Amino acid sequence: MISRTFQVLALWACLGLMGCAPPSLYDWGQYEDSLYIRQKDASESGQAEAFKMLEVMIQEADAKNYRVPPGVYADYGYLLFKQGKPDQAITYFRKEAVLYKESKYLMDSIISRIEQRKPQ
Amino acid sequence: MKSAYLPIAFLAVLSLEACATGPKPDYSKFFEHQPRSILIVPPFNKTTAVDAPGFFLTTISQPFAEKGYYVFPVFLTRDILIDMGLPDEGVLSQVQPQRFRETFGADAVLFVTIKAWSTAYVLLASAVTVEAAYKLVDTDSGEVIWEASQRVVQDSGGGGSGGSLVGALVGAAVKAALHAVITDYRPLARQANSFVVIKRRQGLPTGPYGSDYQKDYANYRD
Repeated sequence: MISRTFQVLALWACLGLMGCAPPSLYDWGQYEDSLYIRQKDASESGQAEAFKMLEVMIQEADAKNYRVPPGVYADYGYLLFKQGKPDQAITYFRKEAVLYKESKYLMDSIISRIEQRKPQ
Repeated sequence: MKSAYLPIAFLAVLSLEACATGPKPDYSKFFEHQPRSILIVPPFNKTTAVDAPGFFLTTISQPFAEKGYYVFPVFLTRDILIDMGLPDEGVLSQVQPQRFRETFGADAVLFVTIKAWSTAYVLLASAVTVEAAYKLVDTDSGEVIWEASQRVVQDSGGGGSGGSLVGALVGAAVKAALHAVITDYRPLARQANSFVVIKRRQGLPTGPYGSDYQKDYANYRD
């Protein structure tokens, strides 16, 4: 009974909100939760959980041919880099730069830094 | 238990306080520079809650990106700034804005000041408040191109709605939630960040990835 009252109220409040908000540009999946976990739990398991969430987002966007939100490829690349996978990291930094030209400057500079450090 | 939090979050919207101060903002500097990308740096914390900036950062990318801007990933940005010897808010405001362009290629940098992040218990009711001030600075000229502030209050309904059955139920649920766990400020931070961006005539004009890009300028010009 109580929960039904809440549900109706929640729905009503939600509809009221959507009335003035434009449709979403992106599917955000669990992006915010992934940031929250990284902030709350800096351990390897926290990072791994966040990594998994980004992975799901990227897979879903690929499957539906959606554009991932700004920063998702770059963040995924950054977590790969921290896992000691520089080559895979570079792949995702490049994807970010191609998808969002505004990021190209930073992505190129990160990629060149990683490549300089890599053993030849 | 978790399902009880959802309606509370929505109900908080109902008690939202828009904090519009001063005259209608001037958008001439904004239209002069028209940024495509926004670098969000770690917020300046004016509260005693030491964890506020980190949690605040997790809620801010989405509303600015949904408005059509390229938003740099916040934690990658934070880590790069730490590498540069700019670990926190205090020193960030001293940095030449042009340096953010040289390092990140960002068109604009967003400085946020967290002004409230607190829970107040007043006899029968309790209120959670999040308040922030936002300043967007062009990284070429160093000029402030947009400024706004937003305050969101979620109270337990101890006031006007106290007499009704729904008000009593909601009040009890919020109180239970507030006392049961550490307050989660994220829903309020998320609302503050959304409202400050979409607010009519005071929010941010649509960026290059939005369908209203360069079409909604009349809403901000007089």
